[in-house]
Amino acid sequence: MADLFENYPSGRAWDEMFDADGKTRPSYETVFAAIRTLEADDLKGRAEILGRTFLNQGITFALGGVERPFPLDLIPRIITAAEWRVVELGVAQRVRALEKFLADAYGPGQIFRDGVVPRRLLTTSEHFKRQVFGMSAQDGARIVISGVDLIRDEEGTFRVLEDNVRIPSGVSYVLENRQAVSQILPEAIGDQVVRPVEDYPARMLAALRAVAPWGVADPTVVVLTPGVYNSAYFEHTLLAREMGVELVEGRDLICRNNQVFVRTTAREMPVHVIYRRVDDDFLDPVQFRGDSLLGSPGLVNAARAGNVTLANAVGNGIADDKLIYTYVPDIIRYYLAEEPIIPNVDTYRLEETDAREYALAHLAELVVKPVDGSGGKGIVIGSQADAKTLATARDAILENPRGWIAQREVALSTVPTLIGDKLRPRHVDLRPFAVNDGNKVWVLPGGLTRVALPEGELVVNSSQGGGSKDTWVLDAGSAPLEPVVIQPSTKFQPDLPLSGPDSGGSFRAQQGQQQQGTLAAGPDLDPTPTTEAPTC
Amino acid sequence: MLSRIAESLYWMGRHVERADCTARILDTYLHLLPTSAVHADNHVIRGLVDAMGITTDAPKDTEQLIRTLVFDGEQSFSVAGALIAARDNARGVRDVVPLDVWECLNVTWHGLRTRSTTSAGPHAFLRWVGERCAIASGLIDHVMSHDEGWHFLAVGRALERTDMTIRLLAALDTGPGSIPPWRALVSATGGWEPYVRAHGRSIGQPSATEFVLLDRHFPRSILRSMTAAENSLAELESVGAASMQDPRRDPSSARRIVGRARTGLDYRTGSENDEELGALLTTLQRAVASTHVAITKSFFRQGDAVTWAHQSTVGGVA
Repeated sequence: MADLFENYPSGRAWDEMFDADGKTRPSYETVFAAIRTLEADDLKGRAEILGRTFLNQGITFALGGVERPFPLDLIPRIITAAEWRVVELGVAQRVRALEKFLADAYGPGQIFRDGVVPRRLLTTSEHFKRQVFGMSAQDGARIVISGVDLIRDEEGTFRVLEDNVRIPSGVSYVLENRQAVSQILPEAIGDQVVRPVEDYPARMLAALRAVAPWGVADPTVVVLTPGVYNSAYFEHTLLAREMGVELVEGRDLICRNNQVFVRTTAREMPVHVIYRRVDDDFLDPVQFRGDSLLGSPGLVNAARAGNVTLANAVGNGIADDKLIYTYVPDIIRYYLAEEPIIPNVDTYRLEETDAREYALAHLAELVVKPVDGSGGKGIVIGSQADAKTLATARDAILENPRGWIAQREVALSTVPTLIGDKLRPRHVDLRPFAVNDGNKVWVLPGGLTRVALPEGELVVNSSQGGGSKDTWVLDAGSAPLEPVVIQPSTKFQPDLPLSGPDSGGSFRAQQGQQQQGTLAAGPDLDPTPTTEAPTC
Repeated sequence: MLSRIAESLYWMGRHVERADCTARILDTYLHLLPTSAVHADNHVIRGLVDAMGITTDAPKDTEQLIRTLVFDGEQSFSVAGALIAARDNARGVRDVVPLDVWECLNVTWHGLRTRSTTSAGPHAFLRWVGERCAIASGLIDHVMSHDEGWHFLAVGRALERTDMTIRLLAALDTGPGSIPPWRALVSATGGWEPYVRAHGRSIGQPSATEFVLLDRHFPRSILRSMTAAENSLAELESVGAASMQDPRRDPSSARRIVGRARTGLDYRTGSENDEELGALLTTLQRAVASTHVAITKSFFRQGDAVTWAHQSTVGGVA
């Protein structure tokens, strides 16, 4: 074994490169062969070149006001074509289901009446926006851009950790990482066919144009950024540049008579689709926080009038609430009549008395998370926390049980990562990005693999100082893939009215269902459950 | 082109030029400081401070002068401050400036931190700044598309250059130093060699003033800079004319102001300079200031009131 891999430990977690006996997995053979010929200094030298290039080009992440290069580890993370097929279908399935859930939750509310999800979860969610209740113009395209965080458990099964259907970030690093790794470590790719990620901006622009308001032949798309001090500002510029659209700030926009314009040097130009990277609360000072300087007054009314499409829609936060997360498997069964393709992580709802008592008794073995947190904030990992932290967590839970969930501590899968001058296993997750144009959900082959650099650290968020890896999805080539069997679910079907829960939805939503049947391999809201397992 | 982006490009042009000019001026004048005669410092310092238009907290000695005018990142009139501002502006328009230009300014910005602490002295630092600015200008001219945005950048650059040269000329009257002030003047604009070639037989105060003010070939003379500003403003005006017009704005106002001032210089002879130089410089300085205001008004900001729709928000209006 090459020096770099000397004493590579194997642990409880699933290692992506080596199996339990220390043998290299077939998909990693090329990479392993390429790396074992390298000296540690060579690899380190390349990593330094990479860091400098990133810094010079300003490919950075602002952490506490200081810009730092987003650390990229050169060893790629590899997903085989068969594994990816599951991820791809599973992510698309979740997006389709959450899309229907949002349309239902801000509309007829059938799912609450049928008792699948308690209505109080909606009304007590901080992200529930009454201002957009009953707004149906965007049904089918409320979640245009999403990222679903996946982890791999000890058996190698992908599980969903959380959904991000508000403003998922990180896709720019997917694009930059691929470019950097193919320039700096070209020998690792060898003769494998890795599926490209470069067409993401084009796909995204096509989707944004597709969800434009009715009757606009040539929609103008803009990217709305909070400004240069936002931690993901680099990503906003990259997406605008690659899509060839304007990057605007709130002060560039004017709303007049429910139309949105952008100030240019010559005139006021109408805008039809806003890919906004500004949070709901700051988007429209008329509807939300009155002191916000980041948005533009009148945006929500313009969207309600159907003159502008906000991507993603306002109020999506109710669907990626961590408490709703525990209901997502049922949400999928309810709307799609399918069994979830990717399971959740075992989760306890702390507002339920039994679960709470169990969780409080076993705090030291569980992971406790705030339901509306993001960026890894507020997470308490029982096995690593001291007595004082646990006591604080206990008090917080007792004070507001609705605010917390507890999960089994999953040992995230590991990938060899350059630490010092040795390769060491470090925990990773995966955020695939999905683009939904209202008819079809496309999942970018790859996604952001985030890696926790400290030893044993399980929180991989970039706002916690994590790094990233390039993610390769191998092309299946001519070899036929094992079909993914989607199990039909009959759990809620008998109670459904014949026309389905969102029959009141817009024409567009129905059109979307028509299309999805051909795409996504599953009976899509078919009122009579099929017994035959559909395949793709 | 978005107004905000146009404005950022304009300021990016100004700040890069400001850093470049200030570095060149300081490099020239700091050389003139006699190392032995400390008390003579005050004179040169006063000249510099006058040239930069610093009104409060005037530096008392060389060290403080260097700190204020070279390294103080908080002040936009200092070399470091101008570079930081240029990079901040570029950062806000990263999607429209070429990657090379952004990278150049970003690398310069990263370099400020390491360079400003080394003991190599201000000269090495100022030379480095000059080189970085030259790279930035070169990339702007030869990589960036000469579209609307580029013209905003070019106007900013030309106006800043005009402004800096006017300041230099205005500070000239502050009396004799160890080196003839006209010589320092021409060196500070970076035009010593072309000046000697053109006026070799008659170097001195009058021809130096004429060179800096009226030379038709030297790119940093006031006449030449104003012509550049006027040309770019004419381009911007015609771009604006092609698209729909906003009646509230007057895209030709800035060009009229620059054009009038430039014409005055164009039909002037060097011998006229002696009598009314002070008055001329005041007029020019005022023209530059009002051009800036006119550009801001007609291209960047429209302070219009937001009007609200009195439509029902229920059900939506298709």
